[in-house]
Amino acid sequence: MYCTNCGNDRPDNHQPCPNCGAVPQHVPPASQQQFGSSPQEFGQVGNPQGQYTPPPPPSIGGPGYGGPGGPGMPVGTKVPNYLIFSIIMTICCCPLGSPFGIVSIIFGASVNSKLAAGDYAGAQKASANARLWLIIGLVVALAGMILSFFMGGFEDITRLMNEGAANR
Amino acid sequence: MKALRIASVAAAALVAAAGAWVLYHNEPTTAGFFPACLFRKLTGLDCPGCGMTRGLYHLLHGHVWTAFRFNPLMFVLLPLVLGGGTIALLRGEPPALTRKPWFGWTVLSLISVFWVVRNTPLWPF
Repeated sequence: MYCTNCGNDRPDNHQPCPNCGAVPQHVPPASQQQFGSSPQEFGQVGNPQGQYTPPPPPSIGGPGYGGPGGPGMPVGTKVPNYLIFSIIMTICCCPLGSPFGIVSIIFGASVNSKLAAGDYAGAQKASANARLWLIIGLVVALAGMILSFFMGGFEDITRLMNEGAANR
Repeated sequence: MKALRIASVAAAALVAAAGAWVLYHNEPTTAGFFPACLFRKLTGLDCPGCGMTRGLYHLLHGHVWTAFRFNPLMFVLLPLVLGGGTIALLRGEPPALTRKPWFGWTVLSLISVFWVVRNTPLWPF
């Protein structure tokens, strides 16, 4: 079949498209297609003929969104998982940012898992959580950095200046 | 939009190069102005990022094995973060690898296991 987002050939399963990462639409069975000739309000994106359809405009939670796994699951929308940011924060903002970074990695990883399982709403929720914990961690780590600068940083700087003066 | 992305990559590369230059000329344990890990200061234990500054210093000087002993995890995470970050900045989206369901869980267990094991007598270095 062809990806409804990017139009490239892709394997016929429910995994995200290997080319663009879009989550495929659940293609309704052929028997359901025969009910009524009137166009369906939702579920237009199922494309059993495998023809290329132009990518729909991104519609995160917008009209046409029918809930998790429902027929109106938007196609071609990507849910950010913030994993790279979370890794950086876990490793580089030790120790204040690290716990938040770990929490953020957990949410980011579940974004991927939920997308693979077709749970679009769950993925969006996890994505929002990953971002939230990333921001909280960033604020805490910055506050800690400023605090530790005022508590111990001056000590280091005056020591360095004294050493520099002694060397001269 | 494309120009903005390229500019941000160039700016990041410039900052990284400046950081590498400073690090190359200053041994972290004696220089004094590199931030020491607060977790290590408070608990006496190593965090997953501990040893990265010293490790990078030795990596810049070509001492790969010494760098590996200071922090082996950075040999996995640095290429990932640098490569993934560059691709994300250039294309506006992270590489496909980071969208795989196993990816996040693997990174999570790597960091957690490393954090625990490096503080036990099991740690070989």
